[in-house]
Amino acid sequence: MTLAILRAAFLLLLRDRGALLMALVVPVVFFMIFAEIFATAAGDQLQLRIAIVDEVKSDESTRLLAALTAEPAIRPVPGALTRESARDLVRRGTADVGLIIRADGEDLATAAGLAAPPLLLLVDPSRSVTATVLSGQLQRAYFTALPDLAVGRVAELIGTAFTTFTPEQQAEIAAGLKDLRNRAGTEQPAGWTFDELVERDNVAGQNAALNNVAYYAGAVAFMFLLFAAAQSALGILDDQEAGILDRIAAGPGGIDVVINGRFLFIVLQGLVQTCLIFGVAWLAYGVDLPGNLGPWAMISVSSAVLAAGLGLLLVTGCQTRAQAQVLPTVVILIMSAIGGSMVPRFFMPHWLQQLGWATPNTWALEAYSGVFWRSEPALQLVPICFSLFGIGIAALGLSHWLGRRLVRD
Amino acid sequence: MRRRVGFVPQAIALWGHLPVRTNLEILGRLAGLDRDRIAAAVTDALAWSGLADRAAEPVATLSGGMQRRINIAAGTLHGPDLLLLDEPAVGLDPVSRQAIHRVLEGLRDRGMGLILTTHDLVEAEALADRVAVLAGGVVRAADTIPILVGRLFGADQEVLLMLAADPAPALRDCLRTTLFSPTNADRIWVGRLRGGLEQLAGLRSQLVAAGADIDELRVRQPGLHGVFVELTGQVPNE
Repeated sequence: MTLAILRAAFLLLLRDRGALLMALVVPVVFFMIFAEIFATAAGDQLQLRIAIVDEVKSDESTRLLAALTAEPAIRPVPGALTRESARDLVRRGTADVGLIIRADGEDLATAAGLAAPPLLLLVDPSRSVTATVLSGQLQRAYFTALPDLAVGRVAELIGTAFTTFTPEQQAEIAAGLKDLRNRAGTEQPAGWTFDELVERDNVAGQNAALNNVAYYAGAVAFMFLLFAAAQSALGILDDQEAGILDRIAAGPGGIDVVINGRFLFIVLQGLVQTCLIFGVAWLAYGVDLPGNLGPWAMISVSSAVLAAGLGLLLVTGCQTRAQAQVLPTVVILIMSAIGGSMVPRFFMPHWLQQLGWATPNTWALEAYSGVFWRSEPALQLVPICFSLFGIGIAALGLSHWLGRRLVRD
Repeated sequence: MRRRVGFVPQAIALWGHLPVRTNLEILGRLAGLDRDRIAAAVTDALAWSGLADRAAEPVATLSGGMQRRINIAAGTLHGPDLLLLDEPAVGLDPVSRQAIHRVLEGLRDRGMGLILTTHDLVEAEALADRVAVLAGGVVRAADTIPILVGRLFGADQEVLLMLAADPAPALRDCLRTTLFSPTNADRIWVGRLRGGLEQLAGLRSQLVAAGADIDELRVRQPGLHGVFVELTGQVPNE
């Protein structure tokens, strides 16, 4: 008897494509996506897009950059850049981190920590891990490409710390120590580390420390905006099953009022949801919501419009309620994973980052990043917001067309 | 045009978790009623459907008959000239069915035209001024019941023959010559009796002589049932 139930359950699963998809296909797809992401993030495949500017163009700087860009983890952003354009690329997220070999710093060959370091990293604090990775790669390239400089510095250090010096040398050292004592506390201690060559510069807005909170507020808000939209859109199919849709469609408004009414509801619901998440981010974590209210509202409205249109499209495109329960969930989960709602996109391999642009999650997150990380002016966000809004309205139009199928002739 | 027609689907097309009054208010708005007229229309509908005292309760908590009445009321809020009803009393017990019939008669008395689809011939015969018999997607006949009966039966009476066993070929030939027609059930035949009840005994003898094992031989005044069987060759469940 137990086997009979087993057989029935097996046959039912085979007949239910949605359940089959959720049970067997979706887990594998998810595994593959996250394997790609975390194999990259945790392994040695992380690829950084770096905005490189060589202001010095010396023999040493050329050798250093040649060795650095030969590393598989480094992918220079193409084109001739200036310090300002590199800074802009990092701020916009086009580059993960910037590297300037600067003309206004010490010489790469002779830097002694007495002036500005020769290497300047342009860092977005929300992606500070990229600067750490670049520092490691830079250090490796330095010792590979410029061993003469590196050994010379080490020899100098050993000569200072471990050899026996002549009386003349000891007198000089004593004088030097006296001089160092006089300057104690005003300069770095003697010795040399690679970090002396590198300085970090934050390219983000004033609330850089809160960038991660703002990122996840946007990421979570948009993902749940999509889930809530799809869930609410399912109500149309409930109404269809109950016969309410037929009744309303027979009235003067037809099916259009159902789709439009549901759309407005989902947009409002999405706005409330986004307000709550960012409200908590503001009150509990100090994200500067009041200071960015206008741009934030612009993004949130266009995101809510997109989510509502997409939710309706996904649901009205399904043939059955069972299908409509599974398909939107699968699509939203995959979009969220690829689009950066679950894991920041810079952790992903390049091809997956590019694929992310096919998801609205990436667009919305870029827009929120523009506000809370990069302090971009509202005008700069208009194209993304306009696109989100436009796609949402287009999806609404398609939902109207598909929705007519739901009404019985 | 849509504002002059009301529609009552077969399903209870209402939001079960919302109160009766809220359902009617929303559906009244969707039927094109102005905000000012909704309250009056809802109050009126609750009154004639006999559910004014249940207006605040969720639809799902009401009995099947009450839900059917609200379902009908929801289709009439905008005061249509014509109301289309798809099996409005299906699945109800006889008492609730009677209550629905009274509601429908009340609407008809108010001057509302009703077009009602049903598989229940008794219901159709009780309510309809005119009927249309639909079979295989085709209207076989449409008129008042007396005219249809007169056209199909004349002065004859309707005979329903139920056999205890499937008829042999010889018996089938006999049945056809004695004006019986086959139905969708092999052992049930319908026919007509000419010349009054006194001819029944002779008909019975003739059938028995042809080998019929008669389970039941029923004679009745032809009505919608006979019209339906004559037109479609199908015996409806009674």
